[in-house]
Amino acid sequence: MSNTTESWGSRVGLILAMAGNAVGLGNFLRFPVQAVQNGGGTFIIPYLVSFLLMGIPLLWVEWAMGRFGGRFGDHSTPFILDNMTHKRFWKYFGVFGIFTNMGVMAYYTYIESWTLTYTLKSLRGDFLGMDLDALDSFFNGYVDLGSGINFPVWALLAFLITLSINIYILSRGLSAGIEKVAKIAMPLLIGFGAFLAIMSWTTGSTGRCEDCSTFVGLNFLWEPDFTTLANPKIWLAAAGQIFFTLSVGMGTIHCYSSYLKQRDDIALNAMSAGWMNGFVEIVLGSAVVIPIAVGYLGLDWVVENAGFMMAFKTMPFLFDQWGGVLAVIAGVAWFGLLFFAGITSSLAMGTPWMGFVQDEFGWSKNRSALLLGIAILAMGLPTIFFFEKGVFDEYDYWTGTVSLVIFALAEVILFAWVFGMDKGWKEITDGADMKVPRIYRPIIKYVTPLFIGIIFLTSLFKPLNGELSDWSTAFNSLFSGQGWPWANDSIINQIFHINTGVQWVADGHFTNMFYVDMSRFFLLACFFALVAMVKVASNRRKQRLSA
Amino acid sequence: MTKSALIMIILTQGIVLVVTIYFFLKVLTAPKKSESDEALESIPSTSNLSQKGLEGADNQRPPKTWLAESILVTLFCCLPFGIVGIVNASKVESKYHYGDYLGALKASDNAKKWTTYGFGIGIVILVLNFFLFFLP
Repeated sequence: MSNTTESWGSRVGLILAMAGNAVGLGNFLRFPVQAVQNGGGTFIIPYLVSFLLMGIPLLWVEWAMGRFGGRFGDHSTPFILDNMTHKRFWKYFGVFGIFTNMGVMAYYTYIESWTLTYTLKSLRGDFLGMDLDALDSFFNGYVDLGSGINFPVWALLAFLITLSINIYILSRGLSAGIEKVAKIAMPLLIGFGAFLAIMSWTTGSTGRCEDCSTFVGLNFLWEPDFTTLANPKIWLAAAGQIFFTLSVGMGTIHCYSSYLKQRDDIALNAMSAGWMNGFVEIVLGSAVVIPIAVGYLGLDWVVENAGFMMAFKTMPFLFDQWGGVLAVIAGVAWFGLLFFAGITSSLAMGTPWMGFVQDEFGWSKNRSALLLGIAILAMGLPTIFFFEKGVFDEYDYWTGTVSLVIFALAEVILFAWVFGMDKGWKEITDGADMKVPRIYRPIIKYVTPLFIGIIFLTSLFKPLNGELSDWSTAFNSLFSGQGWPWANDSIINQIFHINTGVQWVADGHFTNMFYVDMSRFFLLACFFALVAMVKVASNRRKQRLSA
Repeated sequence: MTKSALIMIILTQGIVLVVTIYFFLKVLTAPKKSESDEALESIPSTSNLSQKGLEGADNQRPPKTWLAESILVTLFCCLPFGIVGIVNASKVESKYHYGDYLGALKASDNAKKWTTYGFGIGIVILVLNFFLFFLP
């Protein structure tokens, strides 16, 4: 219920912004690692199936919900959801659509600031001649605020600068800020990615070790092993990857889409943005980290060490092998690419809050952006100061993983069952510039909710190790009275610390668990603060209606 | 590389690439729906300018020249953009005196644009230098 004049400047700008929202660090760092850990080339099959059965339906649902809400002048998930049903409680599910974004933005901006620092350090040639140990100790020193090399606390300053850049762009608004950035950042990102992919494809054998060749890496990523298809663990991993890579279940897509007009197309736009993300992930993302690392360090090293941190601790060393100038260019391209991937996503995470407070409280863009900056600073500082205590991972677990699944499950049930598929289908196909296959009607109604429901339940009750056989072992154990063997990362175990027990103080010091649990309570408090804001906004609406 | 891996790469990446390009081209070639709106919106903005021009002529006040700012930008930030700014800034007054008020307005807008760009680039270079100098 606002009289905002915000809108998208052009259709290509919207698609690039949406693709930028989806393309994040995960496209280059999470996807290849997941593929390595889950069957190599076979991973792509459950990945594509999940994309077709869960990713695309969720994209259409979220785009349609957003445009529907925009018709009533609502640009944030609580009130977008509120328009779709008479039941008032649904809007509190919508709080996830703001909370998730702010929680993720808090730690995501921190990673973004690393990429900024690393881009500049690459530009200056600081990484030339550094070996893996030196890179490792530099990174550890960088994030450890107590260490000497960091004075005057660069990690913190870079975070503040990155956050300020984000806040400034957000305060410029949709078409003058976000869209403009996306139009510059996305082509550059794809260009940098293509450069690195071509370098990787043409490097080939390096002779460092017996199997040191980028082709061995590519082969490892793409060689199919169809026997692994029967393993549900791989399917869950693929579905999870689709979830994170498309940025569904966050509330950003609703928000971006709510600035569309009713007759604007959403079906084709959603496809274009979604497949663009797929291209960056499958074609570019798979070509960089793993193949180049195998090319210089060998397959065994990569299988053992594959992970997110390779981006910072390994890649500069690999580029260095290409020699002087090329190493600098590759370093700038790599970290610049990550920075662009990061900033187009973190800007998207800021918009639900911007839309919410502008709609409900009538704040100006500058004021909304400034308060967002303060809130993100308050939420982000714990992840910086207590990085080593595991606070960062805790944020990622609750806001970047669990909340997404809960919100996506809620929204798809709301859309397909409460709002109804008749109205829902009409919303998706209205103004469409492509023919939406009718098969997607039953898919959205039955398959997608089931898909997400299974993901949610299995992560809630995940048994130790999580393989198929572990489920039957777990049930046997349960029925024979020995209790359920919880996996450490199952949601239930995370909440109650069943496996380890609660221990906040050891040897007169606070344990990591203490810091982690405190950050958890802090996030919970943030969530309820947003719930309170939605409640206040809803009361104001009632007053306005009765006045 | 084994044959099956090669087939997987070519097949998957080929499909993804083709589908991505297909959808993006479809977006680019889709007929515009809001054309009539845009045409409507663009009319008031041009009439605004001429209105502004008429009012300005009545008030007999020259538009802002941006001369001082563009000189400062040339000296301290970004030489090439600053010079374009100065050239445009110098046109503002001369056009105004010839009675070409719209031309003067346009020159003033141009001067503002180039001066701001120059200033922005200067700031970016400054920040970059600062970073490169002080990095850990």
